[in-house]
Amino acid sequence: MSYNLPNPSLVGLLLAVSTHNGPQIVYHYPPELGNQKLLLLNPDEEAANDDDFDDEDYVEDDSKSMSSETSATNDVGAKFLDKSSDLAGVDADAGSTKLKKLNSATTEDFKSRKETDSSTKGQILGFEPEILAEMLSPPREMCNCRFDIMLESMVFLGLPIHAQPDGSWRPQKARSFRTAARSESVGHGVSAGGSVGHRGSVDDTIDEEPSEPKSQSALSMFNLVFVMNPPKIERSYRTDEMFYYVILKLMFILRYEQHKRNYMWEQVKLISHLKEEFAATPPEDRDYSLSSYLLSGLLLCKMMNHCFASLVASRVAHLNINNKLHSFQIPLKMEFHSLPEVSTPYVPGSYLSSTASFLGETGLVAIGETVRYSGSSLIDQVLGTDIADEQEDDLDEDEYLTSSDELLHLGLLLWDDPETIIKEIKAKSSSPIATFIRMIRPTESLLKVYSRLEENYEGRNDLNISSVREFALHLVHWRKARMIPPLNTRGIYIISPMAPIGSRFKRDIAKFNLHFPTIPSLPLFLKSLSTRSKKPRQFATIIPSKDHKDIYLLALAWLVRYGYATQLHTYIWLKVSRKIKMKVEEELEMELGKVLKRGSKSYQNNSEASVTENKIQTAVDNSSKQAGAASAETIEDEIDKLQRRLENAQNAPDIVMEDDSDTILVDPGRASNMERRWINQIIHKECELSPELTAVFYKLLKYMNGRNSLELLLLKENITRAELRKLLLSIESHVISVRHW
Amino acid sequence: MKTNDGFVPITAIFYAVFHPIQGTKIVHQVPEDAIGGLTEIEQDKDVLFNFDTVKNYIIPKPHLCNRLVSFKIKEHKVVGFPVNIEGSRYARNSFNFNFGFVFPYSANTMPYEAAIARMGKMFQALEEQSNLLSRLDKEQIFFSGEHENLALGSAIEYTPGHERIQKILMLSIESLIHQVYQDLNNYSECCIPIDSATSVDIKLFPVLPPPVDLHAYQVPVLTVKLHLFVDVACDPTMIRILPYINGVNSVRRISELADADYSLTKQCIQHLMHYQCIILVDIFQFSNIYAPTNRIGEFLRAKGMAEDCQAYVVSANSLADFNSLLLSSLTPQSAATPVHDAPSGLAALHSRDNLYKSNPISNSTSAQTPASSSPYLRSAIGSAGGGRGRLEIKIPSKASLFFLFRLLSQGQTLKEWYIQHQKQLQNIDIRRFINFGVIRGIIYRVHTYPILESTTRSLENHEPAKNDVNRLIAHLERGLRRSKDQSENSGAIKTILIDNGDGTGVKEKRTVSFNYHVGTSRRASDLISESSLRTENVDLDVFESESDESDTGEHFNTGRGIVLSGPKGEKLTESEQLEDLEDLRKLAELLKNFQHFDSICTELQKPRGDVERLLDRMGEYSIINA
Repeated sequence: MSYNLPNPSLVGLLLAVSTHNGPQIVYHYPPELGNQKLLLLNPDEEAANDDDFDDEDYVEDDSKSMSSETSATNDVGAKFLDKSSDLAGVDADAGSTKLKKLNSATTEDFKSRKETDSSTKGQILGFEPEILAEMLSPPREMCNCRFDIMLESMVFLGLPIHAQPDGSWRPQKARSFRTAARSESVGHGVSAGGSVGHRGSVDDTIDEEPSEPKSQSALSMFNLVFVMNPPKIERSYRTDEMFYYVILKLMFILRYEQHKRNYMWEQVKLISHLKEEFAATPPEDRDYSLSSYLLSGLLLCKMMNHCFASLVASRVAHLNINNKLHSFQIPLKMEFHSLPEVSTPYVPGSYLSSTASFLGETGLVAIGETVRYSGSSLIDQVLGTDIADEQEDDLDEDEYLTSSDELLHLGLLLWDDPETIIKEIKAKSSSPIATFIRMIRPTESLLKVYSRLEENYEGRNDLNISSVREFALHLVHWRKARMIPPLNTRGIYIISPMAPIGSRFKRDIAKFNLHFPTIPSLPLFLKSLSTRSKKPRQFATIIPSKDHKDIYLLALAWLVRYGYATQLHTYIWLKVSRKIKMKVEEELEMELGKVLKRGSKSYQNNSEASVTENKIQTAVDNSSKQAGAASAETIEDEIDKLQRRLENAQNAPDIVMEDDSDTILVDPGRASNMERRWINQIIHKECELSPELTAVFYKLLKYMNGRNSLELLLLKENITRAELRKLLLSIESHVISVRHW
Repeated sequence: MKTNDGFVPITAIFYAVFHPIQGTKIVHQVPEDAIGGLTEIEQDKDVLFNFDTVKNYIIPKPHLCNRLVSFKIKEHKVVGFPVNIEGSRYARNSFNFNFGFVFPYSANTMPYEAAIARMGKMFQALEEQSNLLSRLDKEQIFFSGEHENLALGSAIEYTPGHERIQKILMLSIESLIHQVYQDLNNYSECCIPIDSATSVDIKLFPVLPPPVDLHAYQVPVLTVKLHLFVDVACDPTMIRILPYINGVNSVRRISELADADYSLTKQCIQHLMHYQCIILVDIFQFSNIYAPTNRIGEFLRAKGMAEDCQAYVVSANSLADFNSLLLSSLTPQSAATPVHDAPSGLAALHSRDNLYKSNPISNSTSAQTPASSSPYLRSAIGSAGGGRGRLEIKIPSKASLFFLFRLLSQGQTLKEWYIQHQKQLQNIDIRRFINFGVIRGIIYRVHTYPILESTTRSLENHEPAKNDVNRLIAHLERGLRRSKDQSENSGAIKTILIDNGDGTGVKEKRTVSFNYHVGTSRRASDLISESSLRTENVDLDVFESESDESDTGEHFNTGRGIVLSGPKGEKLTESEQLEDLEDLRKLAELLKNFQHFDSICTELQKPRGDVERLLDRMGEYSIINA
């Protein structure tokens, strides 16, 4: 398990409302919630309780069997089993426990039937609904903010919305509380719980309906509670996720609807009404359960069901709230900028590319983590404070283009057919976003797409560049597209180390063949990407002929979309060799007419320092660490040995540092004076760059820090491939390049 | 706001009861006045939250009691274990109390939760037994009249054997929660006696994620000197496997070498992983491919990484020189002992490398790097012989280490890389160099997956069966039956063949049976030096090709060596055919799940060369590097 994998850990949804009849649970989903009992923290205790509670269960059964004739046989059966197990005595211990299990199973069945028969009496999570309702209807001071109660390991998460003192639902600044109102509601709750049945209170509400039409005061609070049972270690992360991505947004919409159209109250009234109707029809006449009955009629119930089903499956939930469509999701982490550790799981098909970090900065895309459980909380991640590695934070933001600019140089790879996506997002086919979606090519950057849009719709185009960016991020956020560096036949593509071979390969081989029947099978295609030549080659080299170019690019797009392939980018540093440094030094001497050994001194010092450091390390390492844990004699032994070793120290070999002849400039954009001199030496004396190339060099200098890919710079800085190649050739011996994603 | 142990300090602790007249109220709290009711708020006191708002959550309905309950109020989280005890002795037929712990809302309260629940349960038991809490009220307000005497009477009881100690040591809840608050926040543990038999003992432990699933082909590398921890109480399997965790052996291999059950070994290593005593790497082979990741720049930027690398990768042979020098001059006897119990100085530090160098079953270094292994031998001999000159250990520069890392790339095996950069690698232990890169995430292992053509085809056409493989297996099965008949007739010939065999060859075979690592090294050495190293007879070469050999099968070795010059798979001897068949079946299963070579080789316990040969027989396959 890891934060990289989706784990909604949602158990169910409860809708608690508070009227002047006190709190009640109006609806819950899934109906099976009635069968579940709250998990106890301690399994031993659970076993112990099992025995204790058995008798009580049967007492309960008795009372129930009296109330409903239909299940009498079942109950008798259970009793019989119980008796027989008693008769079997102690020696048949294993058997009896089995029987007990059977018993509890039958009682569970029985309960669930009971629940669907008349859900008003059914328990929820092993509690009477009244008790839960009271718990989930907090006093006003706890409303309109995050609500989080945990019983054992079960979390009840919500955002209770309470009416304002003036009866409106419009959000206001939190006002000082009114104890009178609260104690009143608590009093109601107490009276409603226990003796007065749930159905009774429903009756009351319905009775009052005509007398108070559209009365706002009837509903004082509603709370859509998400019941979650996350793994202990992930608890705070999973609840945060659910709250910030779903609950917060959903509840604000519901509050708005209640404020504007009294939506919640109308729905609650309808639910009560339908329940009433359902109870009125004789049981033999109905061939459906209460929940399906409610589902057929009610928007709110449908919405809750849909919400639950989508979230549990980690899909995007498109919810119909008062006939308006809203979408919610807990984002999937499918974009990684660094390779996760070996033991860290991730969603198959995830995409690996350094460009993902630009996306992370927008806050709209969740970036995968390299470790199973990172220390940072979700909020930090959302706000982007923790995305960059701490060690990389030493550079200022102004070093880079802002992420929004960066994004426009990336391309967009749709996850589906354009028309399908347009249909799915329910956009009109003439709307700007639909036009935009149709224009998207994975081989083109957003800027290019934009300029083509401009061409096609000269003037009539109401899209500007920022809306292009917005649309693109929208598509990425709602899992319709992936942002990638534009595909290019001259790019070098490798099989991603995160490729889902082993997990998804079986399915994908067939899929690939279906999409691209005319080109080699997926394994062969991947084989051609993983050549045994010394270095990965440009994609163009595996395309057999010009006619194949398009289909091969499409296939490549497919691979990128399913996480099989990623592009290798080139990153460069400037390297200053000893020769250059000497020359600069000589020059300095000439200039100043006196000896200045600053440069050489500094690196001599450096190497000396590390020599001593090294010695210390070896010396410390053997004696320290877990020495404390060692028994006394080994310590003595060790001391003894140390002493003898010290005596023999003169025999020890010298540890010599190899000369650090080359210096790699980590950040040439902020070069020191000496470094500037070195750079000048390189470009003017050593390589004798032409003025044009010098210009290009200076344009690129700040990117020679191993963080900016040359492939993207080509797009960004308006440099031609030829120019770049020329430059790199002429300064070849002073540049270190690395290829990675 | 974190203590040294990383536990979030407790903001406040309170003890609340359900008062028969006043309802739920706080009896004691630390710090004073941390939580207030309406009156305090009206007085503009600085309280954490209004107690009246949450009192229904602090003492909830009986159904919700007796379990861990935590809730959010304002910016705080209250964790408690409300207890409800029913009994006719009580004024309201029940007694309710709760010890509430207040934390900041964003805090990780997990380490506290079990302790809080335990504390609640303990006081529940104490209250049930001796009304410990309820009788603390001076007016005995919690009891219905007739039980008052009972409550008072129990206070004078003495515990047998503890005559001197009065049963009730705990004088007030106030001092108790005060002490819990102080001790937990300062020392992360507390131990407060309540009476002669009970005490509030809490120690906070960090909650670690459950261990991950290991694979047989993963190699654990120790990060602490575990052998120093070994004592009698240690798990026997752990003791067994420890000497073999050397950064070279895979999990499967460790279990074999230690003769321990695989699943137990795996569990042990998972435990070590859980407590962060080991790091997992891949099996080191010269046929591996490594390539830089996006974090390679950190080698230049991150503080200390390059220095760490320099210290770690210094060639083991130069250090071995160093060690052997020390060892020979100090403790000559320990040079021969297994390295794990030679904790002396550098020998312990570099024990893994010694093992790695001297262990004949380790990977192919001895064959692959003749240049580096021979000085070791020489030095060992030299030092044994007596005095020697001063040594010089050259530590490679940071820049050159960086060059070496960046020169790794997809599509180039380590062997090729090594051959190219032999010169720069002279003072570098390649295995350590690679491990360092992998562990620090600046390079990654490129895994190699063999994919059978027939599998692809059947998947594309949605056919269930893999025809080629099935046919091959069926064919072998037939062949097996036939050869069974033959073997019954040809017993005499075989005995003759044994005499023909090369005696040493058979012996060698026996010692290395079931050693796939040996096979690897052999295989690799074959590749690298081709025939130059082994110019002996053909028979030996054939020996190399199959490393799995049961003792009974041994007799047929030489026989097979002769027969095998014919077409493969036709005239294999019986036991080999059986094995062959088994291997092929296994392999087919593994291929179906698209395993990479490391996994396949580990499962089949065969060197990669053998697996490749098996694959050849199964039909066309493509190699994918990912």
